[in-house]
Amino acid sequence: MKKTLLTFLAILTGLFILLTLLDGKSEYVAEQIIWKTNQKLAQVERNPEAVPDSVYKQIAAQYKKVTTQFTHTRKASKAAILSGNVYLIKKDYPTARQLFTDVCKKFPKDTVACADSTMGIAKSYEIEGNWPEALKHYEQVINQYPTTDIGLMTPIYIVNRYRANKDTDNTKIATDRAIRFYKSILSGTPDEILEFKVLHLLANFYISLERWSEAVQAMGTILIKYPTRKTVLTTLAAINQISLLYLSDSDQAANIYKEFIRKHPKHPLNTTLKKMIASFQVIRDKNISVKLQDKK
Amino acid sequence: MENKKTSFRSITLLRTSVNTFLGHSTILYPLLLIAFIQLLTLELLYFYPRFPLNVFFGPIVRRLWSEGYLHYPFNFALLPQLFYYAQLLIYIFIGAFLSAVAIEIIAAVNNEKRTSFKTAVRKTLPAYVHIFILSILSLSAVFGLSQAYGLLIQRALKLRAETGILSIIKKTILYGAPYADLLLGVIVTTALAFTIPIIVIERKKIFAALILNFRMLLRSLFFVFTIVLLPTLLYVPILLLRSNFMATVSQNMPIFQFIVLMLSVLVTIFIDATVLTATTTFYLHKKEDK
Repeated sequence: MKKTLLTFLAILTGLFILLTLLDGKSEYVAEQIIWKTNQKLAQVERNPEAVPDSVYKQIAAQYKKVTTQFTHTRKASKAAILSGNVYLIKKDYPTARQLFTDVCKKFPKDTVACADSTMGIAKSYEIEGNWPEALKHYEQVINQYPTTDIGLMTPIYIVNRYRANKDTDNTKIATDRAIRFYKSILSGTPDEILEFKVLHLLANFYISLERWSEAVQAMGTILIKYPTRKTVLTTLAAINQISLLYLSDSDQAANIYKEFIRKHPKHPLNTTLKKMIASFQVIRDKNISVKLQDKK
Repeated sequence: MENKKTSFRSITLLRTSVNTFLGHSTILYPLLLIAFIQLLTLELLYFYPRFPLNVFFGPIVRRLWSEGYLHYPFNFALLPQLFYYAQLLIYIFIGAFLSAVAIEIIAAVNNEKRTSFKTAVRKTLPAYVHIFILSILSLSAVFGLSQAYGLLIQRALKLRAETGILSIIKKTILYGAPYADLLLGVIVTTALAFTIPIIVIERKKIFAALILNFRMLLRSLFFVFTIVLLPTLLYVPILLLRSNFMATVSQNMPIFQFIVLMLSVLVTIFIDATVLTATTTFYLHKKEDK
């Protein structure tokens, strides 16, 4: 029995070691190191001042390990950005900026990493209180990496920053620039994913600006161009809500739904849309106004 | 008074059973083989997102679940589910048969005959089909009862009560789900307790074995229930670990999922060894009494 048990144990241990060694430098192992290091960094973030320098160095070294030893994985550039973040938390901005600058030198083809690292540089200047330099880098993100997620979000970030500072003039300028930026992407020939993202951003941006008619128009375009997306129902609900509550005009929504039915005559939502169009008609004929009910 | 007597007798039988399988390691051999197969499967599943196993598992996981489960630490969220499916297959194709082999050995030990694992396998092999059908039947019964409990959960979810007796009932049904599953397993094991011993020892076919099993069970239902339930209670700490610590600990230490699954295999093997030895011994004594 002992011999059998030892054999079982040897097989299990041997296989474990073999499978671990076979996969020693894979993306999965890099993910494991990054995740564990992120956990440590999250603890440091709770009270960064109380943490000794050696801990920051240890954490940065773990990320560096991924950057240098797992260069063939997609996590290498991510780890490089994260090591810059370590020094952002430590408030050692020059080191953070140096590390962020190195990212794009090391991974010039990785546009997402380059955008993220440039964003990191901009953030470091902003935290330091150097807004002109921060803005320069935010604009660099928009100009050089416009179609990355970070690139797409940055114009709205700038608007929100001005808005938070109650800087009306710059808010207006940044808002116009942001809308022009999104429209310029849409007027090009974006792929489906990019177009969908931009339309969503634009619709939400209009909502935040309370430019309801333009918001409905953007959502209508999403609905008509992407009738099979999971977001169809939420988009529909948003169009209805905005049209009835804020615009007090359902004509625009009704026209969108008519256009939708014309373009997608076999869509399963058509019966519902026809009912909605009829309801809009009743609301208009009877001059009914819809108001948000206060929660007591 | 009768209940007290029953529990005393069951504890004596369970203690004797533990001593029997510890004293005759041949009984443990088939069960350790099940544990080994399960641990080997668990180990392979632990490595499923990594090379070279991801070549096989990658497309399956992507298709049935999502790409996210191929990455650390989300793979640990899928691990228990994958292992559960693997355990079902292992039980149907190998586990139930090896339990039958263990019963053959227990019967030989009780009759003071010398036997070996190989001999027991040879003797039990002709009954493979019947044991296979029985394993599917018992799993179907567990699934059926679980589904019924699922309906109860759905009903409980509809209860809006936040206080009072209805709220207590709702909470018991919802939070007690893992324990209810354990109890349902005990009920099914009790209901089919003598079927494998009858198939293996009496060389009966599945349906004849089922009829004989129910006849025998009617005379000692409560006793058999206690000898199945008491060892199964050893699994409660594993359930407690899963329900109370899994969410918090596995957030900081995802490998905890793997460790708990490993522990559950070892505990289950001990429970199975005790229950099988106890029910088979009891069956043989009943047979002698006749």
